[in-house]
Amino acid sequence: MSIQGLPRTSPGLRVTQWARRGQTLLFNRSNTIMVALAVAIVVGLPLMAMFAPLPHDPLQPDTDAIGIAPGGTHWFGTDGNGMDVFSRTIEAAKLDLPVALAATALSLVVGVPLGLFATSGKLGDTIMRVIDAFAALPIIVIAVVSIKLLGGGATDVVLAIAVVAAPRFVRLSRAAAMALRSARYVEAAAAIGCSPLRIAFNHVFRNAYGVVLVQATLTAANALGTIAALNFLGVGVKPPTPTWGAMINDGASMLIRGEWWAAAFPTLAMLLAIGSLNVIAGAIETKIERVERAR
Amino acid sequence: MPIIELKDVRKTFRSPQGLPVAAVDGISFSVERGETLGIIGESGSGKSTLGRLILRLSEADSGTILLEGEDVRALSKAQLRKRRRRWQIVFQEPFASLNPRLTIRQIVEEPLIVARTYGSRAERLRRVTETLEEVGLSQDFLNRRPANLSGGQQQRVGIARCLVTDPALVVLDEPTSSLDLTIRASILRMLSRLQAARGLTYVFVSHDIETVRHFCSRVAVMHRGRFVEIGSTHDVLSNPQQPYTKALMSAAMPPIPYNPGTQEVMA
Repeated sequence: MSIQGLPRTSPGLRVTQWARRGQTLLFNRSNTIMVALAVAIVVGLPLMAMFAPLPHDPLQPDTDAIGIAPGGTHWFGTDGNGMDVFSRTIEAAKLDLPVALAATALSLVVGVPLGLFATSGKLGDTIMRVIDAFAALPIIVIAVVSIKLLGGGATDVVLAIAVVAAPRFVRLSRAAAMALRSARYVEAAAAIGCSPLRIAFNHVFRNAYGVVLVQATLTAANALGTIAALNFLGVGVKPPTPTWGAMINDGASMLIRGEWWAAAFPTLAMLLAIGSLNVIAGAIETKIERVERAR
Repeated sequence: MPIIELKDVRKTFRSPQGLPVAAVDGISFSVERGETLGIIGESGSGKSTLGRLILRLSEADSGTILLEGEDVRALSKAQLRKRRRRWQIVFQEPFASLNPRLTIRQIVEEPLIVARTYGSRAERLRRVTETLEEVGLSQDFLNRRPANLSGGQQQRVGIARCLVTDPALVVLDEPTSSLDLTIRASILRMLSRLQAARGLTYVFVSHDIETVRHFCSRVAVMHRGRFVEIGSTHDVLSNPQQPYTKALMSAAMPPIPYNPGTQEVMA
């Protein structure tokens, strides 16, 4: 493919080729590696917090070591209370990630069946109107208010985020159910005597779970951000228990003195976790596309 | 006692403009056990709707539908589900009627699971394998998915799914119209063989007069939701009484390609 009058390899073309090769390397060949890494981060971080020995006690302030820069003893430095930022960053994963995943799981379990059955009738319409009303409310405000009302433990955060995220799953699974309701194989399932419940899960959901799964991983990523925002605002888990959001809040006040580490590392950890969830979502999406194309 | 008995069955749809369209307009007939009734008509004549109404896959507006002496329209949803294994249907589009995510084994086994009276896993698998063999598919197909099968094989799976619970009555809704000619012939031969072996009753919905001529003992000609003529296949097709039947027959592709002078304009 050469255009007349132009040399076969121009610097521009070469850059394009490099870029393409890089893309292949990053997204195709080492895709498996990326996904493995992403799963390792999402699963491994909490496990590490639970079982691996941390270099310092994440809850122990050290008045002799306040605001120390990253170095040999304190890898990520120490915060304004003299607590080890590395240990706290890891320790926070124990709470943040499971809370995000639990909230997603809960909204999935509630939202999907609602959506599959809200396709028709008065009940279906009512469910959808309630969902619409929910969607009109500002997310963070509802979360803050409900967590305050509930008392403010980790379970309350899970509940609040699940309530906020569930409507998306209701809509998504409802859309799938509506689209597949008139599919011939759904009619065939009714013709052999399947119950509505069996049709909903064995025939409708089985052909739609991919999109729901992608949405679930993205919701988990989103939930991580929301949890951080809540903890940043001081709602939810009480200090000194470390969470990424609360750590960023603490570290923010140190930024003005040029002490960047107390805020930067938890932010980095959070970005890494959110990025990992997005990579997983992307991988699921690619897998689905491949299955669709194979049909 | 006839296996199917319909009395003055009606079904009206709303057109997109909101006008009522009578898809099935007061139809009555009966079918005896072991018989094959063909229902022919042009697209939109209501023949597929009638096939669905018989099995209550679509609700009739009025009339009586008796299957094996039972009033189908009076059954509760749960009672109806229990009886579905006796009254089955084969659809026109074989691929669309098979869930693409399931294996052939899962597809054919599902009616047995739903009916709950077919014993253990091993027992069910034996039955599935036997039925697949009966429709000409070997064990190799058990773990394949619909997309990996040819159109003819897909339709064989559809037929196996409907026969696995030993039904008494099968509605065949244009089962061969999306298949090519040689496969069509082999599927029809197989259906005839299965009918003889199992004493099945068929309602064969089709727009293809030649297929109906070879396959059905009786035929009903449907036009705008009504039967214009019903009788033995020989009588109706070789000596049609109604002008519509005559028009339909002359519009069909003749088995001898060109025969001038028999063409009539469709009413």
